[in-house]
Amino acid sequence: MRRLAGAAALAALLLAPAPSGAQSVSSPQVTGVEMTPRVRNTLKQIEEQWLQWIVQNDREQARSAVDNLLETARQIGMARLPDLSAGAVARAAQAAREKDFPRAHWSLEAAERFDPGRPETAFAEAGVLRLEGKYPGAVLAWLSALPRIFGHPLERYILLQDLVIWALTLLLVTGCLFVAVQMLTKGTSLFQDMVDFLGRSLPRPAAFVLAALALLWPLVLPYGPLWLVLYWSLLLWGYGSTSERVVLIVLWLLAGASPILVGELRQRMTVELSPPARAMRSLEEHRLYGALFSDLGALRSLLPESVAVKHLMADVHRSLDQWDLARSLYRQVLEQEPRNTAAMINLGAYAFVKQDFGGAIRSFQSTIEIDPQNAAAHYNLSQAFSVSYMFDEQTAAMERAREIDRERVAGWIANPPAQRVVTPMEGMTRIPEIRRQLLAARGNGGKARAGGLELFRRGLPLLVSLSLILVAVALHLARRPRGYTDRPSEVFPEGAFDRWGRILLPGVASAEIGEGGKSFLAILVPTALLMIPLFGKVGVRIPWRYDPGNLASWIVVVLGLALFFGARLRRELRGGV
Amino acid sequence: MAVEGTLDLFKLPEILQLISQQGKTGILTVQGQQDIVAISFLNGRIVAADALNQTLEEGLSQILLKEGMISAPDLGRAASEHQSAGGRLVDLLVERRYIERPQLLEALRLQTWRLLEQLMGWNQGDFKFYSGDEVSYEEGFVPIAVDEFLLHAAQKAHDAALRQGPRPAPEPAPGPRPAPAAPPAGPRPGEARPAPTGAAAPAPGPRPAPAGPRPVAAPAPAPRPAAEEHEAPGPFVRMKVEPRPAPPASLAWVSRTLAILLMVLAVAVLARMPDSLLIPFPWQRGERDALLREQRAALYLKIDRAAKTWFLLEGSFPERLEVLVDAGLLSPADLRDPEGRPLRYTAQEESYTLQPVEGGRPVPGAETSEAISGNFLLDPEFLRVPPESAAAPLVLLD
Repeated sequence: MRRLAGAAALAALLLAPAPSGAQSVSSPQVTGVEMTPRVRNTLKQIEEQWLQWIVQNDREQARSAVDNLLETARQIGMARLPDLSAGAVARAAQAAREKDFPRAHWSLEAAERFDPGRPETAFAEAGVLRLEGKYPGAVLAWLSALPRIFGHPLERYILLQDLVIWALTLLLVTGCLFVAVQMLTKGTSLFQDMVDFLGRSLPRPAAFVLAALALLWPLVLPYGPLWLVLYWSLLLWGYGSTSERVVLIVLWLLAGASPILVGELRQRMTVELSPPARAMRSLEEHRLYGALFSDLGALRSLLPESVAVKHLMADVHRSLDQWDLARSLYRQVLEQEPRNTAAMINLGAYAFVKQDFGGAIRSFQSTIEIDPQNAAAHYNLSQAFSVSYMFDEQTAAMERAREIDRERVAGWIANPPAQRVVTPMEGMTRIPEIRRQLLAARGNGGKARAGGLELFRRGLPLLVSLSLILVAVALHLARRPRGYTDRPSEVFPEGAFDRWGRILLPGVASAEIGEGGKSFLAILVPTALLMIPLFGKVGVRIPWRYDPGNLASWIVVVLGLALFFGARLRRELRGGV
Repeated sequence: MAVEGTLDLFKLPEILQLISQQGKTGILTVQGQQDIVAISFLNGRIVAADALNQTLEEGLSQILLKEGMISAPDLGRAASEHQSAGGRLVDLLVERRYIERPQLLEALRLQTWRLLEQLMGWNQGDFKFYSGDEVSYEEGFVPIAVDEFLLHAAQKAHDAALRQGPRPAPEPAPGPRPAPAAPPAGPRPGEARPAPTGAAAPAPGPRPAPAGPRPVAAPAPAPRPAAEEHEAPGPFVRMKVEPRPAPPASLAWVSRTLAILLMVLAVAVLARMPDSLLIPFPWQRGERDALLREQRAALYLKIDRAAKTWFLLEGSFPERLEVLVDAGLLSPADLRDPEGRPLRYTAQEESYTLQPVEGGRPVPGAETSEAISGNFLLDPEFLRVPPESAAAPLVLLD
């Protein structure tokens, strides 16, 4: 955030609306966007009311403080206070540790009101109930948190991205283990063939040593384990059954495609986690957090020339009731987009608010010339005629608005807007466009050397995968006339370990009889269970405001593994895996 | 289920006796340097034997000629008919009345006996016994008792030693001393003899041509399917013979060691560098670093939210990050960066710094610094409104 402060100041010179009322508007270097004293007073009021809430020891008074906070936030068009919700959650956890459970509960209640539906509140409630000894309630609260995760765009987005990355990692790890199992079941034959081949011209001990070196040499390369897996899978490909060969080909393609997929996900994630994107999401949800305005300032500095950003910022100023600042930006929007009816209507609304009804009528009429079917323009025009005592024109304009969109007009009449005229928020609807611009700007920053060479470099993993397939087929065709040494029929020596080996090493029994798909799936299930606690580690950590911990995932792991291996044991006892 | 080993460990007579004493049914394969022989057992008695290097037809033809059961022209004629008609030569010989079925069975028994005798000379190789419920063999074949064979083999070895002079005789097979000159052949056609399990005793004397081939086709348990297999000729119609023999069991440690090595490497990479799995190629270092930066940015955001929530309640940043873990705002894993390095945290009055540390030294380029500035809930400067009186006129009173 601070890093962008300098750039924000520079951008402010380009984007700053003409000051009006002027000497008391804050500097964007301090507040991110310009603010009138009224807005800053409102924000200060929120801060003071929060301090009042903290020191409350009475539930009713605390509830009243929450009411006041939410009412104050509504004055500047905001409905949720996520930072205060996080503070209340932390306060609840602290109270629960001190065994002050009533306070913990009314703190959680406040947290829920500050920002309804947050998963952290439910996780914290589970923690409080657990400390209270109410375990069933704790479990229910924890479970209720899960659907809440999907109710919040940022958390949902990160969770889904993490899921993709985790699944890719899982498949690749399982692929490595699959190759290990292939080596377990067919490695002896491979080694024997290599020794036989080398033994034609070398003494057997020397052939033995050379065969071992020929199998292990990739380890001396940079990223040796990767090359080792690919090399072994290539050598073992000819020994496998059809299904095993298919699995290996799919794994090679996956290894080639995963860097490209992860690269795409990463770029989007970079944008989603950036302060401007977080600010835009918060605006969409009327969420007021402490650094919202600073983050909006960063957006302006990142895309100083973007009309969409100017339009959005104009809407922000208008929702803060900073009409003068908004008007300047709407004008800049109209300079670049002369047919932008939303900006035109809002300029008319500005004139209306400033009681320049003639100016307002001209603005609304200009809008109607461009878009005769704009119900809001007709409605606003009727309001402007009304305050200008031009009742015939007012009636006609109102009729026309009703003809275009009766339902919306009825809504405006039933719940009149604050300034009597409708002010479209189309700047907000341009957020996806801004997000695309951010992505493009970031992409261009990283692609300074873009071009054919860069494209080749990015696609090289896929080419490597395709080459592996070709090499494997060629190797197999070359070797086929000489035949392959058969693999030993059973990996585990007969006896007590035979049974336990089959139970505890999934995938081996299927690999022994050449069932590639089944072998892969048998390895996949326990690997997936064991990798559940690594969910955040392999992907991007979700920035929870209250950490849910890892206990639940470990419970799932232990239960899942017990069920999986229990089922295998039962099957083995019944007649063999 | 299979039992396997090398002939260094167990001599063939011991193996045969073991199978016989336990009354096992199944197939014993013995792989020597030159050939592979498969011996079928039914309830501990030998009912068939076959070699990879010599088909049943070849071996049988030699026996029939040698024993004078068929003339060479007849055999040649039968062979040419067999080529055009297909099927099994042994069936054609009986159907065309070149030989009688009891003669055929006798020849088969003799051939099996000879093959077993050859096998007794093998000192090196691997064996494997595939146990099962049924094996294939020619219907009417008189099983060879292992003891009977071993007695005969031991006597033969003894006689050979005597003929060769004072050299010590090869070690005889365990068991009672052989009866002198025990005849190798089974009962002559027409003599009463025990029939194999499930098969009727053959009728005495020449018989009409059988209605069809009569191998007991129940298969021996196939070891397991292989990628490329060839079906062997002879009575073992469903016994698979691999193009190349399986490697000796003594090499099994190689595959186990290599597999364990790979598993350990996979787990180590997952634990230490999971990004290397997703972006594995050496020339993608830039992409890997970018992914790590992204993961670090998300972690720093989480820590920032926690630290500022603490500030919101306490009016200052925590002295240590562990405090945030105790408060439930962070997990212990959040105290390390995505590469597993511990984070050094330094708090000041209005800001804090995070930096991963490796070997006691801060990692350059991975640090971040956050402050309360720009946050209206924390930063007093943010909300400082110029006093209204600043613009008020100064009034001097006298």
